[in-house]
Amino acid sequence: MRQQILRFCAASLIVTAGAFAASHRNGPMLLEDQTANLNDFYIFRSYETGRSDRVVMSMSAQGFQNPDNGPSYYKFSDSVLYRFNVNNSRGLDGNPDIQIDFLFHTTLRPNNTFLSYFGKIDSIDNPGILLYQTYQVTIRDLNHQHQVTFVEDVNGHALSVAPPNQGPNATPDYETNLGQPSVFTLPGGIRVFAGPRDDAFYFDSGATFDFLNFRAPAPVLSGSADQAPGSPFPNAVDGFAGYNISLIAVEVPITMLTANGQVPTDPKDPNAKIAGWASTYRQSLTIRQGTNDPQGVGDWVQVDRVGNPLTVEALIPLPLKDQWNRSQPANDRQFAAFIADPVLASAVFHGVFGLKVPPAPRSDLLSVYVPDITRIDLTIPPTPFASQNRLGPLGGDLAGWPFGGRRIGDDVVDIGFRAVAGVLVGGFDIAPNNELGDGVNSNDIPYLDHFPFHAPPHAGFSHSQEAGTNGHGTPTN
Amino acid sequence: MKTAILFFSFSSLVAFAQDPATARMLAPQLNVAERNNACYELRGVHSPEAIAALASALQSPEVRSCAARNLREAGAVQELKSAIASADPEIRAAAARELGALGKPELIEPLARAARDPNLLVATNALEGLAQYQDPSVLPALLSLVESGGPVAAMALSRAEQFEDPAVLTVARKVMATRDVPLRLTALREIGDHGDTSDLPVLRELAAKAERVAPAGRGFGLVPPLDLSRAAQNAIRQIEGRLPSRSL
Repeated sequence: MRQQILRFCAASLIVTAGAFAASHRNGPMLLEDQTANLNDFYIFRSYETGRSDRVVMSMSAQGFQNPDNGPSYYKFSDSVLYRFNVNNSRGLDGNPDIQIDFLFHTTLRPNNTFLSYFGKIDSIDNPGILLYQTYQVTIRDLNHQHQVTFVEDVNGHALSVAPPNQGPNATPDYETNLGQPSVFTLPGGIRVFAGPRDDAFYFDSGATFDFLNFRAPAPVLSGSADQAPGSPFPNAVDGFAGYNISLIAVEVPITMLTANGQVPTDPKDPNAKIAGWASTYRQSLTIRQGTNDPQGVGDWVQVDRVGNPLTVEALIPLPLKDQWNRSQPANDRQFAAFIADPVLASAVFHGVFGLKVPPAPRSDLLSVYVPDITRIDLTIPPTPFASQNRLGPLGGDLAGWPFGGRRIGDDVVDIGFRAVAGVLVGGFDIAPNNELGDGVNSNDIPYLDHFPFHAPPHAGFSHSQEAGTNGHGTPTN
Repeated sequence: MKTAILFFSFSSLVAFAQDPATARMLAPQLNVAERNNACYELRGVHSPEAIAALASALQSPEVRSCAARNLREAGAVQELKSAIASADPEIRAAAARELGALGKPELIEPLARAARDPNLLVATNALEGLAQYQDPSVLPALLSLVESGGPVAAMALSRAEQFEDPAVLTVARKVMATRDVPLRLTALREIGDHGDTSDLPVLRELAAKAERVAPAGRGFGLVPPLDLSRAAQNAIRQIEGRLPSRSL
C-alpha cells in the first residue's frame, strides 16, 4: 500500500509540475537506454468478435530481443514511465487530453539460485517466477481533472507481467498457461496486458539500409501479390523475424476516449476522429549511492515517443533524432521542413530512380506526420481479421493506417514507400509509385484475432540464429 | 480490488476556471490540455493584453506552438521578430516559421539570416519560412543559401525550383562541383528538368565514372543501386528527350 501511495504521488507530480512532456533503436541517446526505447505504436478499433465498440492501443519496447537470452531474459524498467496519449480536442493539435500510464515494480522473490525463473512455470502465480513484475495503470482525463489508478484486476489479482517463453519444458503450452492469463480485466470493461510477444513489425531492414539494395526478384508488387498475404519474393528477408519485444496493450471503450463520451457515427462529427501516440519518461535525477539501488527523483522527463511509423527512421535527420524523441507532437511543425520536402521523395525516388513525385511542399505527408500522431476515424467499422488488407486504405481497407489508425499487420513500409512517392495525391497513383515495396509482405508468424493481438513470444528453446532469425518465417513459438 | 480515484486540487482548478484565458494559458498549475484550451480561446483575439500574454507563452513548450500561430494570425510582427533573437533555439525556430507565413518582403532578410543559424532546427524553420513566399523576390535569398552550402542548401535549391527561373539552373550547375550528395542530387534534378546540350558532357562523365553502391551479382529489380550515375543518366534522358530527333 505504501508503494501504491508513493507511486500515486509520483503520478500526481506529472500533473502539478506540468512536465508533460516506430522506431527500433532510433536516436543516438536511445541506443544507451533500451528499456525506455519504444519501437511501434498501434491504435485501432478492436476486430475481436463482439468488441468493436472498443479501441485497442499497444506499444512495443526493447526491440530485437533474443528469445533464448536466459537466465535473465528481459524486463520492463521500474524507473521508466510508459504512457499512452490520446488527443481528442482542439482539432487534434498534438496535445494530450487523456493519458494512460503504466508503472512497473519488480520483486525478487527469495531464492538461492542464479535463475530468474525456476522449474516448470505453468501458471502466472507459480512461485518459480523469481523475477516477478507487477504494474499499476493510471488513467487521467486532463479536461475533467480526474484520474484513477488500478493495481489489481476485477478479481483482485495483481496486474502481473507475463513471464518469458523459455520453451516446452519450462513454460509448456505458453499461451494457454501464461499468455492469455496475463490479460487482466479492469472495471469499466478495460483490459490490459504487459509482457513479451513476437515483434509484429516486418521489413527487409538489411536490404533497405544497404542503400535500397533490394534482393532479386524485384520488390515491386503487382496484381495478385498486392491482394494476398505471404511473400511472393522468397529472397526478401524479414529482419525482425524470430525476435521478441516487450508489449504493453490496453483495450478501452470508445466512449472513454472521445471528448463527448459518445460513440461517433457521422464522419463529420468533430468527435469522429481521435489520435494517439506513446511516450516514455525518466525522472530528471538519478541518485546512485554505494551499493543501494539507484533512486529516481524529480519530474518525469520525456525520453522517447512514437506516433506514426517511419517518422524518426525515414524523415528526421540524425542530428535531430534525439531532440525529436524528447519533443511534443504539438510542436512538430518545427520539423515540417523535413516532411514537406523529404529527401527520399525528391532526391532518391525522383532524382535517382526517375519516379514522378508531387512537388514540395507535400501537404499530403504533412497532414499525416505533423503533428506525428496516429489518427483514427472512429466511424470506420473494423475490418474482420480474415479480410484485412495489409495495404490498408491503399488496398481498399479503410480501417488501416494511416486513416483508420494502425493495426498490427498493416504493411506500413510498403504503404509508407508508396505514400512518400505520392500515391495519395491526385495524378500520382501511378506505376511504379503504387507498386513500391520491400518484398516482405507478412509477419513471420500469424497474429492473434483477439487481445492483445500480437503473436505469442518466440520460445528460447526453439530459437536459433539459423532457424529463428533467418527471416523466412520459421515459427519458433 | 484496489482502485484509487484522485480529484487533484479541484478547488484551485475551479478558481482558475474563472480566470481569463490569458492567465489560464500561462498558469503552470494547470495541465497541458487546459493551457492549450485557453490558448485556443485566444485565437483571433488581437488585444494588447492577449498579444503580450501570447508573447510570454512562447517561453513555454507546452503552449508554444499554439501561441506562435496566434501571434502570426494576430499580425504581431514585432513580437515574432523579437522572438527570432531569443536564446532558445526552439523559440527562434517557431518565430521564423510563423514570420515566413506572413509573406512580407521586409522579413526576407531576417529570415535569410536565420537560415544560416548554426542550429539546424532554426535554419530549417527559417528556410521553411522563406519557402512559403510565392513571390520571386525571395529567390535571391534562396539561391544565396544554395551557394553557401551547408545543411539547408539542398532544401533551398529544391524550393527555388518552383520559380522556374533561369538563375536556378545556373546555380545548380555551379554546385555540381560540391561533395554534398543531396545537393548534387537536387542539382541533377534541376539540370534534367531545365538543362540543355551544354550539360551533356558533364553528365555523361558523371554517368560513366560513378561507382555503384551495390556489389555485383545481386539483382535490384526496379530499384537500381543508389548512386549519382543513375541520377545523371536520368538527367541525360530528360535533356535528350527534349531535343528534336535530328539533333540526337
